[in-house]
Amino acid sequence: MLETLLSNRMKKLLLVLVCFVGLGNVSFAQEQCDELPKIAGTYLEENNNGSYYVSDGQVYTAFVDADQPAEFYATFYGGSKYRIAATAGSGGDYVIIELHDSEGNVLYSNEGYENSPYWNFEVESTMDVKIVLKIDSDKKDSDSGCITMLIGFEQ
Amino acid sequence: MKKINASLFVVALGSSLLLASCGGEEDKKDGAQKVDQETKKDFELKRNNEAVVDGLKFSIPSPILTMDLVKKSGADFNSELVNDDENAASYNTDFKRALNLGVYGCDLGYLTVNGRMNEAPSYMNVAKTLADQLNVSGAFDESLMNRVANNMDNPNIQDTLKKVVGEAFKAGNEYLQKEQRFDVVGLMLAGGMIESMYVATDVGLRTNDANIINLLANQRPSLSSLISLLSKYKKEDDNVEELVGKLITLENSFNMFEKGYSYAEPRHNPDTKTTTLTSSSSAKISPEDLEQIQGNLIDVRNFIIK
Repeated sequence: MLETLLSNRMKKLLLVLVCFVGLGNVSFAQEQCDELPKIAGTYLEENNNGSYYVSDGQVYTAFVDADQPAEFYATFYGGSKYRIAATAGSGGDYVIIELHDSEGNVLYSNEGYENSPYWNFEVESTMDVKIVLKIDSDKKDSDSGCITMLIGFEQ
Repeated sequence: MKKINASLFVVALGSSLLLASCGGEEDKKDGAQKVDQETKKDFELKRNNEAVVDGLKFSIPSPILTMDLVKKSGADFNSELVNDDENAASYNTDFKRALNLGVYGCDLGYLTVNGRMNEAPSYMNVAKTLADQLNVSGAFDESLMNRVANNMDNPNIQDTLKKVVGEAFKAGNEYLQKEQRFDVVGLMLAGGMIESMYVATDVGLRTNDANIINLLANQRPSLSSLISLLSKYKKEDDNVEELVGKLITLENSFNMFEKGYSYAEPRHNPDTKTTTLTSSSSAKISPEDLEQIQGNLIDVRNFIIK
């Protein structure tokens, strides 16, 4: 009788613990997603040699996994200089950033540059671009999660 | 029923987390992916996403960016292009307020890049008032507003204001999306975009500047994206339906641009973390066709501001 009672109590306790841990982790993960624009914002401000980058006003956020990278489309205007900054968490090298043109040519990938979290683009002539973002599973312990990107233009 | 499902979901999720935390490295990775899947569900629910994804797949240029290009074309400032700030008092529906919040945001950008520092603060106040009336004043960061007010005598006020307008635009979008005010976001973006194109078309006709013509020629994807976003609300509001109809007419007139593109190898400079994109593009349109686009723009703009 006492054994059954204890066993029931243990089950209840375990259930409460399970619920607590589960809810805590989901809310922690969501908080992490909400924190990303702040981190990306610091990359827009970094090392600007006297000039500064103003955000285009949009916060590009997506949930990605291995077979579904995030894709965003933008127009880069001739005579302007842009900065793309992306983050998936505290590590500065979690995100692989690629820039493609409208014909599918890869114009840039940060994989050759230690997964730099930001890069500048000097644009000679107006062009439509596609920005592809994915998480580098060699750097982060998962290949899925939230990614936030900011686009800034130089003032 | 919902409660039961929620409990089951939490128990299942919690169990998987506990099991993951007791496992080895591979299990940990597997567990992390399970959490990510649940976060994905949570994220999608929170963002109620399709409209936002539609809205964000194409970048809608910030008014400051567009107005910077307008300024670079060398065209003189034209005070007749901005919406009179006194009109704000007549906007007594949320539909008009949201649209004109975008319009005044763009005008503020136009005034700022042209150094019209006497007029700019009153446009900022008008935007703040409209945001208050829409109950989205949280989109305006008080400290940003104070930074402008405290810096009016600063000789670098133009740069400060540009920065502030850029930050305000970003903070506003972030706030409205977080609060799921997608209807307000859509209308605000529409107002800002129409006003930007209205100013740029006037400048394009006056200067025939290649960058401005290119800017206009490349607005179509953003316009299509905006139409998709607003179409979600047209059944709820006849005004939105009428606006979407006018935007579709405008979108169709963008077929008149002839666009060309030629790929060239980019140059990379790791020292400055800069890539120079050397591909070339072109856009052509006759003055008559551009005037027709301007006519369509005036039609939409009058619908918004009057």
